Amino acid sequence: MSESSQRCAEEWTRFYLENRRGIIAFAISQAGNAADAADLVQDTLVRLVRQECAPDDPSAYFFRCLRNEAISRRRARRPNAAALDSAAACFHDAGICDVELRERVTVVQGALSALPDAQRETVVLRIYAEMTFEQIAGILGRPLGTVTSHYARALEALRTALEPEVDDVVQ
Amino acid sequence: MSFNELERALAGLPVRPLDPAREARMLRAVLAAERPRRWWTRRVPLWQAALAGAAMVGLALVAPRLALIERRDGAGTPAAAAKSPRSPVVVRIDAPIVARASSRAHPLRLSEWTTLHTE
Repeated sequence: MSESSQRCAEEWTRFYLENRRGIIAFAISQAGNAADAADLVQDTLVRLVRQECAPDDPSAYFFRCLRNEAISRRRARRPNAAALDSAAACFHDAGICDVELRERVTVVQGALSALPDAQRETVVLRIYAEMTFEQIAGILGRPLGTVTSHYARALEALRTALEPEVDDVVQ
Repeated sequence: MSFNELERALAGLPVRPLDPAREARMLRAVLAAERPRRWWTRRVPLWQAALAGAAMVGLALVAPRLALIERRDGAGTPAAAAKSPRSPVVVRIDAPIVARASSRAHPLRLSEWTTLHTE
């Protein structure tokens, strides 16, 4: 393996390990399940290593590539269907032992599932991947105003849906 | 409930982890990934591409002058002769057997179609 390829692979691996939580959340929200999400992340990382690219903003570039790859896969599976499926919001860990926390997770997953795709993508990128609104606008290819509007509407909808739960969560 | 509190509450929820064995396999695949090294996928540096292009243009300009390529412009035909007349070639036959091809008065020009004058 060439030195540049090796260095590129190590950098992207380090990037994954440092941002694992957000990457997995976004990948599962795009792929619909953990197994497909792992394939999605692997294919995206391998492609980036082979390209030997050094983008200015690796985080935004990675999430954009991941999303494009997910859309390509969905289209390959079902032509003319690039929309996310209903399981896209189930990236929270439902296998936890704490019963209260598990119930909370179930409620949040239900509320996220009810959101439109655009709003859910914005919430996942903002809260779990910790992207800025400018980065999210670049990743999703939407105007900044649209992204912030989607985010505000999504939080409003989540707050309404989770109002009784939020009190418990905050406590 | 403020948006900040809601954000914190959502961010505090655990995210489903990948299967550790699958994750390890994924990272091994990423570390083993290598850009395929074949001549048709080799990246050509810009300066090399520019140099090759300049060499091709230079060769195209210089080649006709060096007569490396045989001219196929139909030289010798009446049309070509009328277009770009060349200096005439005079053939002198000192000991004609049947006829003389040229005379002082009527030199034979091989670059033109002309009537053969005989004495």
